[in-house]
Amino acid sequence: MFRRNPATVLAALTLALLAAVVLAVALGAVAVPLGDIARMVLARLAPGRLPVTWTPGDEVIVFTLRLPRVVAAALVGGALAVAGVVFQGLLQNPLADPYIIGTSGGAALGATIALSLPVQALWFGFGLVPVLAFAGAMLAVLLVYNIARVGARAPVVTLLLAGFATSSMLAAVMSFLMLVSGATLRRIILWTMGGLAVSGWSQVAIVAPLVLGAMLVAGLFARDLNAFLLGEEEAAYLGVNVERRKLTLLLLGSLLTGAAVSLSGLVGFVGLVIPHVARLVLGPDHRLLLPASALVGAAFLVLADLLARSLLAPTEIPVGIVTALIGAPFFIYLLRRSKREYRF
Amino acid sequence: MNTIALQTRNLSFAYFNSPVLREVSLTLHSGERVGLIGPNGSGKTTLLRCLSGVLPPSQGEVSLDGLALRRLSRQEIARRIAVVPQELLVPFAFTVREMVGMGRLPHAAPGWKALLRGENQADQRAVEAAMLATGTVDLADRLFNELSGGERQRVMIALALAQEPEVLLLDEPTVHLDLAHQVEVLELIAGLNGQRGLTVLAVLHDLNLAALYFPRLVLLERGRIVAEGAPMQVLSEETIARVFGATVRVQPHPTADRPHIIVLPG
Repeated sequence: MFRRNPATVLAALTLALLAAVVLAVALGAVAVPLGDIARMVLARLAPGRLPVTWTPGDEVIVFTLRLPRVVAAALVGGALAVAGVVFQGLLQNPLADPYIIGTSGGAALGATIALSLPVQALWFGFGLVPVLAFAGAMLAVLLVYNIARVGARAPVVTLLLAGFATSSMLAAVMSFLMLVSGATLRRIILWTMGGLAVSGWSQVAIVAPLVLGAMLVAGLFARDLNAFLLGEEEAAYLGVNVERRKLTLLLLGSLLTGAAVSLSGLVGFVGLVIPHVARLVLGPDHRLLLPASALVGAAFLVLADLLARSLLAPTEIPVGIVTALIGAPFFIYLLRRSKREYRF
Repeated sequence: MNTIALQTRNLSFAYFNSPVLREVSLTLHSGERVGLIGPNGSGKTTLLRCLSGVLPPSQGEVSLDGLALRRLSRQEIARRIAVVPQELLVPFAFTVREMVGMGRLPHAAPGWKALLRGENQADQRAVEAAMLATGTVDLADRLFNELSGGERQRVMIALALAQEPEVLLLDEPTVHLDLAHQVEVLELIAGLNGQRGLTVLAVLHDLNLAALYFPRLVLLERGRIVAEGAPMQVLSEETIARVFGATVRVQPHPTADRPHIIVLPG
């Protein structure tokens, strides 16, 4: 049934993710010894029992600065990877990524508007930028779906074309706003390159249940996604309620993308390539592909963010640049190594 | 064997404003093997789609075992009617066994428990039986995309069989195949019909093969049924000239008790 034992694969990937997290928490501008990290965590779980061998400064670094950021990176990486898998399956297109259906255009416009407004607001730790980015992403998708819809059906090709057209239109509006933005131009551009400067747990605490919940629900539709890969007509013959499932998956994918973008801005590459990496190694069956892609995407972004903040410390490289620079050559290497002619 | 498997009465269908099917009344009895023929554009594939429940008719309705298709969920329909489309373009690397396994989707229980348990014994048995019946066991670990046309057709039939349907609908099952494979697929379909009592309706473009392998033919012209019955009755020279616009001679087949159509060139 599965080409490799799924339990073994998922266990191995989970360990890899944990190793990446530990590494990312320990390393950075200030290196915190692994032993201290372990003791700090244990002390939180069993307070007062362990002797304190670390400095209060290190504790702040680990729990207030790094851990939330690393967890955010894992959430964003996992969310984008799963969204990529969902959109590639739903649209039967190996070149689809989470942004293809207008989410990036909407989110970028939302963020640009937020950065251009002289308003400072904070809701549950979220500033105006993440909120408008998320809202922009969701509204763009709803717009695209309604443009593409004919009666009760939204054909895949029309969705793709409507996504492209809408993205172009939103990008044009955003370009105009950038033109008149003056001093905030640099902040807008940095946002579009992606960055994980999360401080504190409040944002992560809200986004985490949303992302994990959406991933679980997407996992429930793994078999339906397999059927979608055979084409909408064949999926219907196999008993899938195509239009309803399409809308559900579209919403799930967009939720994951919107949540990711609200935490990190536009991080490219992860949603497009991680699903392919997983598929090259594990095959296209979504029952394994979905959880595996989530774990690989999470680990990948955790490590990419580690590099982004360490390579040129104290300057931070936008993480979107790192994902592309590191990820693309690795993907090319995988493609060349693949013994057969590449079939998605 | 006189129960009605699939039936429509005065079924009409139009794509937006252009009518494709006009008041089609068709009855498929349980265990029958029927060939649907007609010139291009006569509505054969559309009729197949309406019969499978994927296309809702503009008028009239389709009933399966006496139940209106409209009242059944897509999953319930897929447990009883399986469709083999003309071809499947799958730009993803599925093996044959994985493809046939997808035929079990209509029988999948929803929810996490079923997903984690994976395929159960019933699923595995159905998949093995389907591959055995179509002679595709040797292809099980090959990639579907790397197979020849004939092999893919057999795998697609295996996929449909894995659904364990009562009714099998096929859309031009021989259209891309060479002669030997055309015969192979039609013999397979005839065998499935004869041995398992599977009700079969196949859209065919080759009139001679239709006449040989299908005891009952339905001739569609511009969305209407214009002839129905045994091949000898349906395939007359006048009918073929009128409906297909081709001058032919019809003679008895040398070995089978069926008509054989000879094209007259020039």
